[in-house]
Amino acid sequence: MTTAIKSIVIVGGGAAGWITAGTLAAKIRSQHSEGIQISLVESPKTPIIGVGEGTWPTMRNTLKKMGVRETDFIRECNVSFKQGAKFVHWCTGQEDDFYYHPLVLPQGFSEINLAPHWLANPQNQSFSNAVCVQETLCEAGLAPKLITTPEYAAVANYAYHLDAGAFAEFLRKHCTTNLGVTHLLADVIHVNTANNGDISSITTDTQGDIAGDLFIDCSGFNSLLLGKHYEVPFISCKDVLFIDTALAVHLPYENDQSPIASHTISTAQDSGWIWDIGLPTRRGIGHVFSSAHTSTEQAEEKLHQYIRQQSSNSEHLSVRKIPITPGYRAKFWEKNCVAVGLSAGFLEPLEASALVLIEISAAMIADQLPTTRTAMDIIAKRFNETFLYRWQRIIDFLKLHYTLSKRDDSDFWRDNRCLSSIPESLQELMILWRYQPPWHMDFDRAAEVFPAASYQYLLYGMGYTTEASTLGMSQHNQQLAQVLFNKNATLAQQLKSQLPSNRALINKIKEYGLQPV
Amino acid sequence: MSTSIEILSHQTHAQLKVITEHGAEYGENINNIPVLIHELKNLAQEYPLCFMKDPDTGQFNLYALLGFAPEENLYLDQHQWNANYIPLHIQRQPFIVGRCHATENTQAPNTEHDSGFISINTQSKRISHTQGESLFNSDGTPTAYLNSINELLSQLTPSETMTKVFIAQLLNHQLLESARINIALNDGSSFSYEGIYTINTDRLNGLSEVEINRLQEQHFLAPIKFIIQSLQQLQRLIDFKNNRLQGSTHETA
Repeated sequence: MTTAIKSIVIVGGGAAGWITAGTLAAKIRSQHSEGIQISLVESPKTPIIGVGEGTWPTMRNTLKKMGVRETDFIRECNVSFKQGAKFVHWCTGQEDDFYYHPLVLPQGFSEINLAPHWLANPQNQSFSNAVCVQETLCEAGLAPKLITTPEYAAVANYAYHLDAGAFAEFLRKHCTTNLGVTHLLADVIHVNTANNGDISSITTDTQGDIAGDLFIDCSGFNSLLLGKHYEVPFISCKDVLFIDTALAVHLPYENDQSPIASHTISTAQDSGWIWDIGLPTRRGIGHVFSSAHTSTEQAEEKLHQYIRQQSSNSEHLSVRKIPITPGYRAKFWEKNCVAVGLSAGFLEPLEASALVLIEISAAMIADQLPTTRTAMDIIAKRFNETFLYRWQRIIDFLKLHYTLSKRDDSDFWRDNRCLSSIPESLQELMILWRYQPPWHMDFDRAAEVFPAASYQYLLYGMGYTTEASTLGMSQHNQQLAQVLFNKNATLAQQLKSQLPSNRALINKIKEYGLQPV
Repeated sequence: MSTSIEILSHQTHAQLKVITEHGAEYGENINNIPVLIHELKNLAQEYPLCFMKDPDTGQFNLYALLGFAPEENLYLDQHQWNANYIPLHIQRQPFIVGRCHATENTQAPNTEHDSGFISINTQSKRISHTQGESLFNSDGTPTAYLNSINELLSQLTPSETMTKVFIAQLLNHQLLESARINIALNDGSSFSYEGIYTINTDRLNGLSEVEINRLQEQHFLAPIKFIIQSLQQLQRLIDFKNNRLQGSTHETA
């Protein structure tokens, strides 16, 4: 069959649906003279999950490509800047135990691996402080740019914290007004198939049958098309990542000028961890935990304890309980249907992987968009291989946060270090890293999600020791490393005196806006 | 520089005089000055014009470049300003249009004075009681000098508004682009401007006929051309600078 792909139907209207719609529509417009009809069918009844409030720096490019003004996005989606994550009490659980996973790469990262040089002589500095400026900026509560920095450009690499509900609404407006996406409010009541097993159309309660050549399942945990219709099996990874429940609250600030943290704060607990994300109008805080290791009541008490330490506004907060089934589908693209977002899988929000997976899924579908049905099977196979690899690497990376911990105060942490819970791919890397620090060639695939730098920040943030090379370090490299350490220290002090606070910059953007150039 | 803004009145300022000569002591040792759309034709013959962002708000404004280093005004030679046209924001000193000013520290004026009156910075070094131009005649009427200032100031507010509209239109048409201007001087030193924006001529040439006509109707096409042409005046700045460098070499020799 050489049927041309002329229409795409997206089922589901959360962040996944609208990011996919916007990415596809913008790409098709920029590449082709003939359009492809894109419709998004959204249930008026199913509320969006809306806990994915942290992005990666990739979101800047995703939005820019869609033709969104960063100023509008920041103003309308309750956005603040995020410069990485601070992990508190993950390593030893002691009072002063914290490390950063920043977004800026180590100095000179394309030419020299600073890790062995830092390991040889840490000079009383954390790894992240020695090799990049961002820990300094975050600890001082500073923004990653100036009001004069153009939209999407950075002084220090950054991502966003956002209100997921407002974000979906914002993208809906943009996609329907500027990108020609058709929005239909209806519930899917039946999926109709063609002889070859493809989905020919969906029957809805109020909009009749909607036919399409490609169906994108963004229906969230329901996984209406990939899960329910095609019954593609779900591969649980609960044996690796134990966390299966979230308790989420919104915490108001003391006042409307309270500082906004410019990083995600993740504080380890005895059976899980607490996220803390600062938006301009409120903080989103939640405790994710393993129900096999603690009860909901105990977990809720830990959450309240955390909130009481943060704020006196801790009374009458309504706690939302969200079950998490960690894992992913055995395939993401089946026949003429591809799943993006929660319908494809879900993991604990430890490294903000939810939104980035949506972005890179949408980008790959847009980049490789099959023009005919015949081409689709080949693209589908590629897509499945790529995303299977990506999910596994993300699971490895999340697991690494637990396996590196030295905490011995609960079964949760001890069980996490049990070899049977650690994927072999990760065990292998951990043996390798005992003798050589992570470097580009460890992660040489185009499909890679986390760069070698992330593994370095994590390993050396958590006190992992890589033995010095038996071959020593050349004089030239030692000198270069020292130059870069000094350069970094100077730059950190410079930026500390120049950058405004996260709150001050957000206020200015609300008042004046950022310039597009 | 200290400022104390007072609404100009005969009662309070009858004896005041204003020194009109030029000089660094009057705060003229600056390397750029904001300019207005209505003076671009005059300015373009003598000054390089560009856009820069206000460091506090990030908003674009239009500027004439006067020098390279922060306190270097190459048009200024002792008390002489070497140009046939002097930017309005220099000419108007020490007067200010209107009543509301960010650094105003006088009492709130009467609402009946809402339009068409001027204020003066009484802390300016230009203020004198002994030398300079008088503001009022003995009978309380404004002098010819004050009338000319009045005339000048009356152009400012509408022109500032129009300049903002002009810049907004340029941004809408994506006609501003960041520019890297590197200057090589005769003594082997070099200088590069930071945060300078100019007209994106590729983009300008790519505008549709409809867009060009629209700019023409708004009388924005000529200002765009003046700004593009004005970049030739960078050579004037370079010549001024090279002459000074040569001069100082002679002095030390």
